[in-house]
Amino acid sequence: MSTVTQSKGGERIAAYGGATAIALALALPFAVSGFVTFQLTQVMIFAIAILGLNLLTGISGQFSLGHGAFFALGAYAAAIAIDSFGLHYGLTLPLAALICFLVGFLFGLPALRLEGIYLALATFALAIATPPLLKFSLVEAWTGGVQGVFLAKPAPPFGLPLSDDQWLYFLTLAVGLALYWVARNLLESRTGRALIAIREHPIAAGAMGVDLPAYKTLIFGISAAYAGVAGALSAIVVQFVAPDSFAFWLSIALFVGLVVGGVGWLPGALVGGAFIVFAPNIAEGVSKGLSGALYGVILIVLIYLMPAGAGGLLRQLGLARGPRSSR
Amino acid sequence: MVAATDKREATPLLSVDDVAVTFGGISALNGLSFEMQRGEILGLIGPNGSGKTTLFNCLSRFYMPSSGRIHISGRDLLSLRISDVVRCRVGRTFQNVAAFAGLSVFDNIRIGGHARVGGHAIADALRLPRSRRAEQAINEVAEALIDELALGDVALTPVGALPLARQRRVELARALATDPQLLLLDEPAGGLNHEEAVELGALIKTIRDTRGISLLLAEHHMGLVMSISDRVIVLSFGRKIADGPPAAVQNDARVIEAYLDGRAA
Repeated sequence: MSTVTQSKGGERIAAYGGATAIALALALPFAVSGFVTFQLTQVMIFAIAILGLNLLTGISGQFSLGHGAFFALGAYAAAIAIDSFGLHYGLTLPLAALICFLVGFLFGLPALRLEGIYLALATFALAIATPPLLKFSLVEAWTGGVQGVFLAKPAPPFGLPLSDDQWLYFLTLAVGLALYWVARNLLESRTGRALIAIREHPIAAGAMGVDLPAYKTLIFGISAAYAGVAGALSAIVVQFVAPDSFAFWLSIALFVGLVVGGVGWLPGALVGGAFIVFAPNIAEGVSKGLSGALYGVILIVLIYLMPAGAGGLLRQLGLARGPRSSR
Repeated sequence: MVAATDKREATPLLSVDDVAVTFGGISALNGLSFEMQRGEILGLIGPNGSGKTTLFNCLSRFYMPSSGRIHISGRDLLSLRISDVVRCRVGRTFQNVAAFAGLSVFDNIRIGGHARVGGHAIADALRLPRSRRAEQAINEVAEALIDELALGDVALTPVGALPLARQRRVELARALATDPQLLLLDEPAGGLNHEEAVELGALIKTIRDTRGISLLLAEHHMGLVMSISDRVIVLSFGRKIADGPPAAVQNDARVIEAYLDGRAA
């Protein structure tokens, strides 16, 4: 480390910011109502999915308008594993991750031939195909068809003095922090640099020995696994999965959350998650009839005020590091 | 030639044998053959469109020749995947600077070290000791190159924000980070002023002398090519029209004619 020194100031701000956020996250469920705790849990669930989408889009530069499909796959994998096979809900998270990784990886193979908006369209087709597939009669025995699957609410284990909502909040928080840690590690490693190189200049990346097909499919799988874990958590927390919960708007919402939070800035996922959960509520609070239009107005104002998302805004204020560099 | 005692000595570092490339009926390279020895600086000149970059792109596996063979240290280069070319220790720079513009100088060079160390995404995701050791090794390579090429003052600057001469130098450092035995430089003096080109020539010689590597230099800058090359190959319309020491090539009637034609056209 003789010649290259890091900007310690930025590191310190990030460390303080992170510590404050975790302390706040630990205290919040004891300060707010059960319903708000449930909403915050949903924010974190969407944040996990957006984190995965950010690895794909923000880091490796591949677009997906179909992450709702992986979210749905994870949710159904969890619901069916609990409902039909009696699996413990905690074990459904790695199961959903594994299934979605494999499906994402396999989808990544044909996607290798598609770039930019064409890939976005292909993934969008995935999103549109999901609800009908879930209603399909051949799989109705497991998916419950149009009715979906109802689950029991898990109680806190080990006699922890927590309400059900608080327990699910902390479970989601723990999973989210672990996945954030993994994403951060990936980003700051040789693997992360290879992915950024693919985004920045694919030809040069290849010439530097980066195996493009391997890394592109790998990150597609990892990204889908994040969405799958988020979906599984959603099934557990909401205790219900149904085809129409996973219509194409979910994929769009995740993409919007990514942009609002800041493409390439990992903590932005939380901002994006909050936008998905609260923006429609705020719009509805102002006017029931015009909620959709208000949602649009909120979105346009946000994009106008922070064109590079929350991450871009913080960067301008000197409070966050650049999204492009891995350091 | 085969009489040499050491077999390693006998095998040329690079052998290009009767390579042809055609694009939609237009011949970009036609029956090109040459060999390169270890530690040699080989200049490759020729008018625009004579096939220099086409040859480079064959050596990087971006193009597949329609016929011919290419061997690197006796290994069949044309059976390799693009990403395995650096693993056969062939590094390169690009004519139009293909740096990772948004990334810092340090990160650019670190990506050059990608193939130097093994690694696995799972180890990286969980920050296992193995991953940290690889990171350490890559950092050391990059820091040494930053010192060697005097890039310390801009190590954390995005490459896109640097002047062209420095961008080219970063690209050179990145190529060196791949630990090449054969380094392909595609018009490294493009866009440089006279002083910068002279400096570059000295740097290329130093790189050869300290590392003992071979350099294939495609270049328009005659002064640079003639002053540092051990041997020069001249291409014209995809064919080799001269091959020899700089002084001999410079006076070759066909070379003069090709360049006069190129200028007249």
